[in-house]
Amino acid sequence: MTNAAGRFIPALSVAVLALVAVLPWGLPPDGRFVLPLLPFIAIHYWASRHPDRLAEWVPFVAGLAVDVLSNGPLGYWSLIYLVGYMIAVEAHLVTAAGPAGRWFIFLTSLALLVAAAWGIASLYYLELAAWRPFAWAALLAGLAYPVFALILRSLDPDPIRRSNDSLLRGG
Amino acid sequence: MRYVGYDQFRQRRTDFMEPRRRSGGAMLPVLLFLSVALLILSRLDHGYISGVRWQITEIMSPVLRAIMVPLQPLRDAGKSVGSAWSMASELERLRNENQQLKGWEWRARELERKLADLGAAAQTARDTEIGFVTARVIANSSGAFVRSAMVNVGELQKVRAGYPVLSGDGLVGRVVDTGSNAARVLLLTDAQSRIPVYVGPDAVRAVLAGDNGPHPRLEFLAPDQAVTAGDEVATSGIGGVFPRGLRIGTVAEATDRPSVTPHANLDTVEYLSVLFYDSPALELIAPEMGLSGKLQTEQRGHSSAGSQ
Repeated sequence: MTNAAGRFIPALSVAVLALVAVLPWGLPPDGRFVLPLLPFIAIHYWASRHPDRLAEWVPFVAGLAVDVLSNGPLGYWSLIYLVGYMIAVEAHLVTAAGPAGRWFIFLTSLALLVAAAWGIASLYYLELAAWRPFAWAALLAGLAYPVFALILRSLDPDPIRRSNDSLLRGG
Repeated sequence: MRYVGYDQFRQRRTDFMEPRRRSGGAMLPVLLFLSVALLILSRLDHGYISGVRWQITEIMSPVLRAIMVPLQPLRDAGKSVGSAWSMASELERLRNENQQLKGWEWRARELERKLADLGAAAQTARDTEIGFVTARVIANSSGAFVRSAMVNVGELQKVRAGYPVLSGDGLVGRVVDTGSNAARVLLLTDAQSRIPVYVGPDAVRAVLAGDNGPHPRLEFLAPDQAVTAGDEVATSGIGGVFPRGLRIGTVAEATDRPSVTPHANLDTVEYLSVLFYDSPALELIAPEMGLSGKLQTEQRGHSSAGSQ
């Protein structure tokens, strides 16, 4: 896979999920909070596996698009996605045993990110924001991660595979 | 024969891992600073921000419309599942409601006849018909900050800021921003929404205030006036922004700040009607909505679009 394609697919997946996040799906108010976290799933997937293929401006622009189209405060989701990007790039250093381990790493990153999102929202309005919508969003995003990770893996031109040590050892 | 040990064939994890990358390059601090700066400007409600936001929205609205076409089957499937899930209880509710409505139908006809007789006797002026255009929701807000929706009609379809917006079940909100082919609707559950209403058969006056939750609240109720759960809430027409008599919802809880359950399902609404209600009050609130020029009072050809 060429370098251009390797960079295009991550950016495209983040952009598509950002647009999906602003479409009217008819979800109840508390459930609708999960939609802006869908791009973070893609950001985390690419930044934790192939950080050199996801440029920093991609989460920034995706966040701005979500802010503009959802009529939220400009800069909010771009800041959250950039923070998520930083967390995911650090997660790249953690070598996980397999899918379950990577899911756990994502859940940890998600918990940190949602806490940051709630804190920034509270700071923006200078009062404590309702925590239930954020908690529901974190729960739903955590449960949705395996599905989206499978889809993104199918698009991944260079998916990480387990070491073939055991095969060479004959075990 | 040279011994070829196992270790020479063994790949270490570091041999095929990508080089360690620190969290972001040189651009990251700049982007973080930009994000924080935009957030502060948004908080200060800087006029430049809303202008740039609307220009970007105008550019993106055709893209959103195009994306909804292939995703519509998914939405319909989700709706079907939801409908099937609540079918039994919904049928029972509809049966009961139908029986009550039959009783009301007869009373309504009697009152209509009496009103016509009284109007003819008193030679009262008839209410003018209000035209409308039907629009589709192409985006809605998903966060804790606003409750708004974007529709696919704008200035080219003669939509203006301040126009009321209804669904088939009742009032949804009002238009607050317009572009050429898109408009933003502030929902009645938004924290900035304030609608003068009357409540119940005694027409108790109040203001319906949104709080970004699903149930807006009644405020400025007179201390000696009380409302009961189940009372109907409708626009009072005071202030002139909304015409009188638009259905909104029913009182859910009769507390010191009663909450209202809107008739319209603001989460699943797909098609909306924008009323061409050219109220004189729009002239007074035009500066804050960015309207330029004096309100035109002559006919704008709205009656051809339909009537309420």
